[in-house]
Amino acid sequence: MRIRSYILPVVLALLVHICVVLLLVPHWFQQKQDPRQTPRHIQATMIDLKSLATEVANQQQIAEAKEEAAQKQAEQTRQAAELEKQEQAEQARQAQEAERKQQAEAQAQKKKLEEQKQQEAQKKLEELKKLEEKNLEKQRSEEKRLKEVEDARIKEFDECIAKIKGLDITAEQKATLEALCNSKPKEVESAIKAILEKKADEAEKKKLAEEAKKKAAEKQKQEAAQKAAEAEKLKAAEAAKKKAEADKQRKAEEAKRKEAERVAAEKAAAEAKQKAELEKRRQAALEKNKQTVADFSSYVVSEISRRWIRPATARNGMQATALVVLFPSGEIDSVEIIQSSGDLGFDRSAENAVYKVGRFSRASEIDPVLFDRNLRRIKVIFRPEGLRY
Amino acid sequence: MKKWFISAFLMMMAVTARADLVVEVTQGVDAPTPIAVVPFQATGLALNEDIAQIVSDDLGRSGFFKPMNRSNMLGTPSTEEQVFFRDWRVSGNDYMVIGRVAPAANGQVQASVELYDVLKERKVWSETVTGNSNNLRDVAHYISDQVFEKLTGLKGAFSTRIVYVTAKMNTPGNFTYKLQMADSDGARPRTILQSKEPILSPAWSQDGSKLAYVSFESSRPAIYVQELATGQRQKVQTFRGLNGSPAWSPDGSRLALVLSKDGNPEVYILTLATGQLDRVTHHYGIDTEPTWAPDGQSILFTSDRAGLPQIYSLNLPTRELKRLTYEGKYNSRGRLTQDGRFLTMVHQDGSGFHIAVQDLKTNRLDILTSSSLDESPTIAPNGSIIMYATKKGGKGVLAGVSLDGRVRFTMPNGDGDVREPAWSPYLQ
Repeated sequence: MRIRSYILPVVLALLVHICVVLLLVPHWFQQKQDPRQTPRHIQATMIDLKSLATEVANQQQIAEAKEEAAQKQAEQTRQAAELEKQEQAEQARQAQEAERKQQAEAQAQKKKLEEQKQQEAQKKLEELKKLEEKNLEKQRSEEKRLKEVEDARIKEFDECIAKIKGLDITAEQKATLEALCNSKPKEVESAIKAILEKKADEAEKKKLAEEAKKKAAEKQKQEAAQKAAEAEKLKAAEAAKKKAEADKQRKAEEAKRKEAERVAAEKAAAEAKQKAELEKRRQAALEKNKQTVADFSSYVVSEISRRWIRPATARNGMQATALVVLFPSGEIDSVEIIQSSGDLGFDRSAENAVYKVGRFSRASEIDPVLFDRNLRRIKVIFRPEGLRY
Repeated sequence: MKKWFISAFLMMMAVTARADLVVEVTQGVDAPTPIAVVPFQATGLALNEDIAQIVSDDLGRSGFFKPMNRSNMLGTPSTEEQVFFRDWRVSGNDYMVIGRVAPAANGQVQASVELYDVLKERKVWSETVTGNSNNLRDVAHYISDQVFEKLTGLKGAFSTRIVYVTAKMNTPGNFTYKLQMADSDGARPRTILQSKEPILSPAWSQDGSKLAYVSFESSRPAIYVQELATGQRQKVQTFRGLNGSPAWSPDGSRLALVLSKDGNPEVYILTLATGQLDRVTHHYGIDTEPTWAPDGQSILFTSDRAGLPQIYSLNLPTRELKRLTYEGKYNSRGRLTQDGRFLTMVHQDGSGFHIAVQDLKTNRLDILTSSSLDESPTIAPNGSIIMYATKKGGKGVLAGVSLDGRVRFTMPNGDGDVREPAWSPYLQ
């Protein structure tokens, strides 16, 4: 809630009062009433020091809380302002009421006076005049006295205010003291003293609290530092442990890797050795096979040459190729002329030369795998040399 | 999985890696092919000819075959069921011929013959030939031709004929000359012409229907052409001087001959249809013994234009002359094989006159005979045998030698001296 929101009601209240005053003005000029002493109304505010002390204590407590203090202070300020306004409004209302009552009474008195006037008008007119003069004099003296009192009071109030002004106190306390200046100026000193003492106490308390807080903070800081140190230590220990474990694991892995490498190297060496051995054996076998094939080729050529009857039509440069398929026993499975010489007699002689061998007996002595792979099918090229033509 | 694929791949490689062994045979035995011609079984017939023997002799004489001696045969099978191939293989035969002769209708005989490959144990050829008792030799020669052709790929020349001249001295200074024709084996000779004057240089026409020869019957040499079927003959040339050595062109339309009408012997070409004579040699030396190349484009002849008799070739369209023989002092009477590659001739060396053959491809000359007075070579139409005249026991005989010189034989003795043989072409 903001102060701005009270501006309109205050303006309206003032307007109402102004209107009422304006309405009453003609009446005042029409009938001149007897001066009547009206009781003087002193506007004052009742202050309970106990509650004030409590409130101050509360405020101090609140002030300890950094974040809440300002809020509560603002709230209290607001509430004080509000209370003050309410009191002002109440006073205004009471004044109006009193005024209205006075008016009513004046009217009634007027009526009565009119009647008395009618009855005693003439009789007491002189007396009244004297009395009126007397009252007027009295009223003037009274007013003078009142004015003096009022001046004294204002002076006292100003002095009180001047005392308050230099104090380093809160606005609320200042308002309270101002109110006290207004109501009981003499008690202000003691109130100031009490406030200052209280303030000193509070400052002391605050200092103590701050110290305690500081100590607590220090302690907390120390604890935190200790904790941090412990945590650090723990962390370091953990890290050391982890590092140790990592080192251990790394070493284990390294060892494992080296072992694996060693095993692999040994395996590779063994394999290489085995491979070399196999290669050597393979080469030896190949060499042996090559020799076997060469021997068998010579044997085949010899066997066929002995039986090949070169016909009269054979000529140097003729060539016929026979494909001879053998059984593993060396017997002839088939003989086929796959490339003819162009001379029937020549081709027949070639076929017959192979058939006449009947059986290549050495074939049965050869390794069956080698035989099957290299010697089962033989291409025999018949190409006569040394003929007359 | 990967290993499986590798294994499969290696197996495939192993399969594909299988290679044939290749060997080359260059040497062998230069000998005739052994064959057994088993005596034919003759049921209910008394044959005057031994067909199997004729076949066997024919094949043996060709130089290509070596027939088995009958006395060495373990059996005489006449049907396939009776043949034990192993026996014939063991006895060294590559082939065998069996046959049966049986009477046929109209007094004829039927000869069923079968040729087997002993090594493969397969039948190569079989046929039934019909003939009569008078031409059993023809049946036999036909069988020989078939066997020869089936086994060598060359057409057999056993059914061909030869002509030759015989001279029989009746009294000193008195001779009887006969132009005779016989089977290729010399059998069944018959006289074509008989004269008291010399008969020379018989020559076959290409179709085998006519003979040309030189006869002195009219006191001076004249060239005659005689139809064999009818015996009719025609004197085609009789100039003064030498008229000799007729040779038929391959197409039978022309005769090459030697005339000395212009002073010395020169080679002329006579067109039979028109009688036009064309002199093709012009040299003061002797040009004689012409023979036609198989393609009819050139003529070979003997000439001593270089001082000694040598054989020359004259290209007729271009008249280009080429000397063919250089080896030896004497080379004459050249004759070409049907393929035009081999030139046979009479070649003289230190030991006399021999039959020689020159490979025109390599110009290699080989002397085929060892006798010293060989003359008049003539070649079988299939080029397998050269027949020639020679002296044996002071008497002229016919002899034969295979082209490679491996087989030599002497023909049966005729009546008197035999000379001037001429081998017929294939007869229809």
